[in-house]
Amino acid sequence: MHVDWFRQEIVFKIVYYGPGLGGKTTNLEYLHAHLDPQVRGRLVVLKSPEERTLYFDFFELNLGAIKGKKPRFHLYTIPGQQYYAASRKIVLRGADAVVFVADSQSFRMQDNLDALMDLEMKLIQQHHTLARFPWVIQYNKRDLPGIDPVELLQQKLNFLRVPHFEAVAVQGVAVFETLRGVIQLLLAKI
Amino acid sequence: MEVQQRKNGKRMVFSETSYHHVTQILDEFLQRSQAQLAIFADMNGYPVVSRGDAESLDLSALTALAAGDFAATAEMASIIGHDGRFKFIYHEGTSRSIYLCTVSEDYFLLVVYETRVALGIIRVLSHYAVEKIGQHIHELSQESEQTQKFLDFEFRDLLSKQLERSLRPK
Repeated sequence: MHVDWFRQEIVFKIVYYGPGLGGKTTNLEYLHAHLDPQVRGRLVVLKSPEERTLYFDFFELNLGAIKGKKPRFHLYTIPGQQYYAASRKIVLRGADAVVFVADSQSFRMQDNLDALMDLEMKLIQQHHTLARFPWVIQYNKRDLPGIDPVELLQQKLNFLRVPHFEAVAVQGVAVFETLRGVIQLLLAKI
Repeated sequence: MEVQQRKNGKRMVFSETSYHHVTQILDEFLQRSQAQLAIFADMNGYPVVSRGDAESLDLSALTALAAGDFAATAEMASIIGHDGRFKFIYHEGTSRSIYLCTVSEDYFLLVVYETRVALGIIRVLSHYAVEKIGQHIHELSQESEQTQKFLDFEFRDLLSKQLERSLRPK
């Protein structure tokens, strides 16, 4: 986070993490499209020609002044593919909280596990660990056939029992709830 | 310990004194260089101090992208065997250009200027500005304990309620 006493601003960085094609960008795009234009900044989307996130997606959420203080939230996604490991490390730097977007489809379980391990390794490099870091997990694509039951996902991925959300990001289901959940968790843990 | 926390990006705190110092340095830089805009930002992409004509620019998006620019070129540097970030990054346009330079491991300076202004002027004057700003960077590492004061219980409670109201689909 960044505190600016002169401008009375506090900025939090929230990163959407997870395997490639899991729905991280869809979360951000839905939020941006459905938020009041007065509270959101420009949506920056850096995609490759194949529509995959290249660096990151980003927008700023600005809630206005509260008791004279101005909280802002910088929302980022990371590129999920293995070969963008360096970009992930950089985007995660300075993060205050993470939304882990898991793909509920059975055949993506190993990708989810790999991404979660990758997140833990990168947090450790920054002197954090999942056990003590504010994060929530979103089980996305709950509308698709061939998905794992939530109980199995919880058992395999949510071994730390962080708040979880069952989502269909493309339809906006649980997208706002997830963001509210991670911010409330962050505020409680500061 | 506080310096370590800062380097990990955990808590960055900017005081009124620091703000005034950097503001003064950037104003002087703009006056001498005739650049349009100068932003002192952190490597996480947060615009700490901006001076000059920002028009209706989204400064947060601009500095987030600039931080990404440093990150990407650091990887390019690594590939060619250069240790660390490049000190300068320069993007030349037909009407306006952007000049980026590192201030420290955690901060950078972004300058927007019209192409009628010579790059050499921008480079030399930004070098002086960076040196001066560097003299105030140490102040930043001593202020982390003030974060808790900013986030008092009442503010957290009000923020929590505001989030419940604002974070709804329109």
